[in-house]
Amino acid sequence: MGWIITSLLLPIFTPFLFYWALKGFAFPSAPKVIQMIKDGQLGWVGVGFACSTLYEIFEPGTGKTMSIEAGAGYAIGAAIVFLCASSVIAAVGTMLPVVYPKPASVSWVKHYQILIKSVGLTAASALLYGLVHYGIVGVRTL
Amino acid sequence: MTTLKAWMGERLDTPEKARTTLSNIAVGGGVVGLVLTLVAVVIAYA
Repeated sequence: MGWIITSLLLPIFTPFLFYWALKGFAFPSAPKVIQMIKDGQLGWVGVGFACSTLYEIFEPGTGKTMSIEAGAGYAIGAAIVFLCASSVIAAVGTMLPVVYPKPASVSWVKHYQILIKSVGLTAASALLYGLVHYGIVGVRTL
Repeated sequence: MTTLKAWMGERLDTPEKARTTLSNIAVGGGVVGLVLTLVAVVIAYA
């Protein structure tokens, strides 16, 4: 549980904690919280998870002996694909930002599609990272 | 090449279309990644 909190939840939610702290103490009229992530910024988190997954596969943990298992190649491939896809989402969101607030004529799902897709990609990267960390795929602690 | 340019041009000519097209490419990558993950799990337990 500690690993999930420090390696998955903190990278995602710490910026929100600081946002709410700053908003509460110093900037009460700050922009809405959705503006932090509406243009694919979560893609950066997905990139971090994918890079950490690759590091975890190739570098044994401190004081541990690990072996590359069958299927590791697919896990490496998946991490590289998630790395590229998350990078594309982050780049596209920056190049083609959406306006806030949402125009009334556009549906929420259509307007915030980059946000929705970045959440999905980040969740998928986190899933793979967890599978590798707990030795289900890729590597196994001996 | 001309056909590819025309095909891409149609899908990138407005910001809305470009956003949808390019983000769908990323989602396609995500689906491929999930399939690879699933294959890795299956192999690990086979």
